[in-house]
Amino acid sequence: MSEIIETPRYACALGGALSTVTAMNSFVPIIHAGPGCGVQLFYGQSFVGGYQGSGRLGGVSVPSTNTYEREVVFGGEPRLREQIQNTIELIKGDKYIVLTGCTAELIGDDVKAVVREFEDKALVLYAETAGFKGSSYVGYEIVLNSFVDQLVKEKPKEDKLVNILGIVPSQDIFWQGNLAEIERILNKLGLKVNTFFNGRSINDASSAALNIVLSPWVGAVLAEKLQERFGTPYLVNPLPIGVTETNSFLKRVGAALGIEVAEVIAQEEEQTYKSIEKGADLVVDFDLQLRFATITDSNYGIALSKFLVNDFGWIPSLAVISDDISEKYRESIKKELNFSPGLSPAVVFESDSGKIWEAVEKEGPNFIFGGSLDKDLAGKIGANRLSISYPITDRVVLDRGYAGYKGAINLIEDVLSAIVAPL
Amino acid sequence: MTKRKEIAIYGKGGIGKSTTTSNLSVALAEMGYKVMQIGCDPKSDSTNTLRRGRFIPTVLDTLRSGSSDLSKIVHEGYKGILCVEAGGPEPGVGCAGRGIITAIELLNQKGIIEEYSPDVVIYDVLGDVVCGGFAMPIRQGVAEQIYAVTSSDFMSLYAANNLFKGIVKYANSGGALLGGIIGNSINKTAQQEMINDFSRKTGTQVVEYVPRSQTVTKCELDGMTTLEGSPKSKQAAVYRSLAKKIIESGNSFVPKPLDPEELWSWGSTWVSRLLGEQKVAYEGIQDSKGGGI
Repeated sequence: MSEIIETPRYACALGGALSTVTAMNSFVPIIHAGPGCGVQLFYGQSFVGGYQGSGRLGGVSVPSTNTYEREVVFGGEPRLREQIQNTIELIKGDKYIVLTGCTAELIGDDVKAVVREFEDKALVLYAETAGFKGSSYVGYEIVLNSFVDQLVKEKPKEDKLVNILGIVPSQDIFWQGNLAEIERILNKLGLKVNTFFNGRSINDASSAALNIVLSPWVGAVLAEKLQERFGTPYLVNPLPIGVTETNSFLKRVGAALGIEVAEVIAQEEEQTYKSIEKGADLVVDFDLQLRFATITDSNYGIALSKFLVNDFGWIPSLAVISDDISEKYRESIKKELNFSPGLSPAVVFESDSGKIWEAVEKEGPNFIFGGSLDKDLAGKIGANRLSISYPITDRVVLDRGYAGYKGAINLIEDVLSAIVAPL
Repeated sequence: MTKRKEIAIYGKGGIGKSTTTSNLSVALAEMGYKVMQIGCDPKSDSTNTLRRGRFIPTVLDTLRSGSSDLSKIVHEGYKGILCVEAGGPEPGVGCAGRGIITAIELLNQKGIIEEYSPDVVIYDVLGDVVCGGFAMPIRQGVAEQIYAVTSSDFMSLYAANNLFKGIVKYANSGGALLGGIIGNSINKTAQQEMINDFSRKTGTQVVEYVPRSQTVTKCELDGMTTLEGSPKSKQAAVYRSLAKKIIESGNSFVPKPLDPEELWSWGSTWVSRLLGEQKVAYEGIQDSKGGGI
């Protein structure tokens, strides 16, 4: 039986699916769920995700069937039919996707059959995203999988096009900035990038020459499926932050596609170091080499630790991995966090905030990379902190990112600013 | 005023629980009690034989229509029995289990039972107890005694055993306890012995054995209970005896359900024995080991 988790750091599968569809900004989501799911996910996801608003097709304007007791007892199909019909009439768009919540799936509404009734009127897809299926990360995977199953057809390959998988909008609060930086540097290599959220369509997913999974696990199964169906190779590379990791990432992409990357790397390196250099006096004069802990999902845990250890010279004490990942990925994540002897953080897989705080307090780091939930903890142990993982209520995040070369500069700015803030 | 008696009758689908319940209701009404029978099955036909086969609007029909008026859901049947059907979704859609919860909640919220103030309330429930909804009448504050209707058919006993599991689950939190087993369609000694053995093994007791009878079928086809259609029959007397035992019984048990493997092996022994008896009865064959009874 599942345990009760105190203040977890993710929403449910419906949440992840909804933020993914909203970020695409081309499909109109229709929630088939009880009243409250949509509004709670907006405030509980976008709003505590750096106050990112609803966008054109998100937030409180998302159509929902709001199923009540009558639908639970007698079935929600008539209500869903009505809602799809009304949505097609009221919200302009030719693409819709029904996202099912817990009640609809518990009672077994035949969503597929209802959706099929509309095939002459509009493109209506569906994804079975009941909250009980798992976290936001799982919801992201389910909904993309539905797109691949119901929409994506075989297309001719474009040898300079790549897809980016693994970044869950809203759950990764810096998703826009991160993807923009990844796109910028891949563009410099002469590649076109489809993140599904940058105006390119998931419809073209089969045209890519390579699928890049920017996470240790999220999207990996989908990449495998795309390889089977369309013969697209993929590489799994957790989010790169800073020169060392981004160089290595570009080399891997270059090797996979037979592209020369040395020149781009040299240019980016030079520019990045030029910016970072300006902060060096502060770091050296104030002796800012700190012991840090991360309370983040596995992707940020790996990315932050690698950058801070390899590029910034900080000392890792603890990496709390909070994204409730399956046992099969845990060993490989531990390996990613294995630095030279004496420099490897203790790794804890934990989603329960109470237990997380206990573990961090025991380690007593000088700096905490976590969410806004960890404010009191940092105060208690006298550590500095930066809100970087969901949920974030003490920062407004629009398109800031930490990935790549430019992201590393942002990160250094924010980390050092947090330290000098009281002055 | 005497305390109202609320009981629930469970049994596998098609085993005769509505027949038994309706005849029980009539027998209790004949004894002078004011009886309310509440059918908890989406088929909504529990009380049909109390009203010459006519269907009535159900509690959930009011929900479906969006109305909150429950004034038309209590219908008087034969001998003034108050008939209520919970209702439910069409087969294959929605959630029948939630329907039972909703219907019972609505009856309570609207004070329907209080309003009519019956002496006895009998819930007639589809008995496989597959989910929380079907266990609703077992839970605290609904019925106080449960009766399991079963034939000697193995799957029927299997359902009774599942019901016992449901009762055990709620027994510690103030839920209903088992009043006993009602053996139905029992014509042979071996069938009776099988049910007896089952009750012994599960620490319960058999209240009555109701024989299989053409009279019951004939009356039902006429839209009547046996007590209405053939009040002087032997079968009617059996139902009257059952009613007397139930109304007088204060016995309640926390049953000891068998685990599935134990139940299967127990069942297979008995089924062989019943088949043996059948062979002797129909074909005159006595098997070499001296099977049969």
